[in-house]
Amino acid sequence: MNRFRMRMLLMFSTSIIAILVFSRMSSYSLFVLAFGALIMLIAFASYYRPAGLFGLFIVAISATMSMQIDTLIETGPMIAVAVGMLIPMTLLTLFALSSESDGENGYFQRRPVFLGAAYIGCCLLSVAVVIAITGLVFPHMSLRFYGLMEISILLMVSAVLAIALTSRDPE
Amino acid sequence: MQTQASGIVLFVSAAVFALAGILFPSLPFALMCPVLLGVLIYARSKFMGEVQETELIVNRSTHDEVPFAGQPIALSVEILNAGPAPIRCVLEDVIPEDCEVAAGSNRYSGLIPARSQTTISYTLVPHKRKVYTFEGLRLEMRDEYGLFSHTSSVEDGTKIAVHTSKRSLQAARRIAGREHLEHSGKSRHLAAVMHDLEFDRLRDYLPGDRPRDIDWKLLSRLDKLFTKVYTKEGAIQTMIFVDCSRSMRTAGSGITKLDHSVDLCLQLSRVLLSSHHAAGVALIDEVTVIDQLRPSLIRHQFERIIQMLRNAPSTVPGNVHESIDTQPMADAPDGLTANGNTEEAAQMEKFLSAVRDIGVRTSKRSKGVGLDEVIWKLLTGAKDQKQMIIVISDLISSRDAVLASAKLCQKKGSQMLVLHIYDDWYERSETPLEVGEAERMYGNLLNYLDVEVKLRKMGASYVKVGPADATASIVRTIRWGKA
Repeated sequence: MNRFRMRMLLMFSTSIIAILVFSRMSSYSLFVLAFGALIMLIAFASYYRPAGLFGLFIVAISATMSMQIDTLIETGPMIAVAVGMLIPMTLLTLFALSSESDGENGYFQRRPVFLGAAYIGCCLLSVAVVIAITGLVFPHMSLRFYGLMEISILLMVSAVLAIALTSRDPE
Repeated sequence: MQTQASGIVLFVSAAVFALAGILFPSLPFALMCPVLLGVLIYARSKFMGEVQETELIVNRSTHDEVPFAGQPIALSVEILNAGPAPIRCVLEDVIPEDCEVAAGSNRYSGLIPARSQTTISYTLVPHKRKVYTFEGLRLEMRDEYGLFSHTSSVEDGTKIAVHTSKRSLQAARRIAGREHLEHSGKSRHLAAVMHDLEFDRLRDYLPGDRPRDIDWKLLSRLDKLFTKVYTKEGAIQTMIFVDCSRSMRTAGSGITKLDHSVDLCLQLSRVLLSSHHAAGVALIDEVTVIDQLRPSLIRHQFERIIQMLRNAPSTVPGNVHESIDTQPMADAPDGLTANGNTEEAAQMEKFLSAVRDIGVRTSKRSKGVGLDEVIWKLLTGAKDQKQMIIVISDLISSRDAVLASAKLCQKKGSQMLVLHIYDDWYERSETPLEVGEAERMYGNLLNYLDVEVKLRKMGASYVKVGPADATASIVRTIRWGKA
């Protein structure tokens, strides 16, 4: 096994541990997570990307079901969700997609890393930013943000940003 | 940029997680959507950077010095990835029309590391004599995660001139030892006099004198052998002109006129060279000389002729009968008009009239352009030396030029032989002959009979050539004075 694959495995195990640490897993969720992780590992060992993606979705469902957060406007839950779900799930997705890869290409670009990180960061902070802007623009307005509103703001921002960032085609 | 199956799956999953986040008001579910989209944006941006940094340099080479139609050509395509990023790709060398891959593969699939080279080697069989242009390579790049692909082309533009079939060359070698244009015995109707002789005096016969130098008439009268002595003796130089005009290049069904002309030229030059006659070749179109090789007897003259004939233009698909109606030839002052039924005919007529206009403006010596101009230069440049001019043409656009050249040859004491590639014989029609078509062909025949009479009056020899006529039979026709 080459160094790239060793590093990927390390990344995988760290991500799984992070999910386990920051979520409240029932035994049933834990079983599903283990099953998904096992499928991902088998796919990685057998260089088969579709199975890796299948395992990823099982892990994702298990992780999201066991993550307990209600709001994205408080720093505590925001950090917990970032460290316990967003970062590990991003790394697990890259791990699943790299199942058929045999090594790094030695060509590093900063721009894609920056764009990907900025996108996820913007989405995570979107609710807080919208509330801050609303408070600045309408200081006398009393607004109460429900969970569904936060979800709507998050999804809307993520969709708009995704469209903006993928609109350019190579020449 | 196209999205691959994995990319679509990831995108749909993001949408499903978003929907689940709304249906079961759950933030973690909704947060999975930006996670998956974030990975997609990262992968896309990375791939886009790789695509923009890609720099491929293609170098194509062939191991065959002179490729022949129907013969395999070994091709080697070296692809250098000069960019900083490795390329995961499927490369396909786009092969030109009328070619097929005989061995190997024109595809490459895999990774080309940065600043490294890969080679595709395969064997190609061209079916026709033609200048084949390789447009380049079709490049399908894939990203590292199998989410996106990008198709582009790497332009190349390498040209490989494929010569006529090797059978023609073999036939040339075969007949070169057997056939010759010269007549060894006595004949009253020698069409081709291949020696330039100036009579000086008679002397007694000495053993070893050539039979053709013996004065046979004196032998019957004086019963003694006398030998004719010449002050100047040398083989007549022969120049073969191949008409590569538009009508010659137009390919109908069956063998094309230009291909047949090239074969004839190749074989005739071989026959001449094997008889130690200096032979040269010129390719001409309506206006100018495409390429020419002066008559010579140097060692590799035939190889040079082969190389030169590779520059003969490719044939173009079309039907000359649809584009040119030669029926009104007798009425038209220039000998050719288009029937005007099709757009192609109108184009052809426009083209011919343009060519005629050029001729009127540039040359006062003759009616035509191209051929007569070249022949005039050749004959005036040769001073007193006699020349043998062989013209292979369909006499559609060059009829006037050929007639003017024949007149010039007569004036300069040179010989001219016209091998008329008879246009109507080259068109094999699947449908039965209709009355209109038969009338057109009859009109053509009458017109060309008129041309033949004019040429013969000017001392030129004339042979009608059809697709079935081989060089050997044409040479025999010339030798026995039937031309």
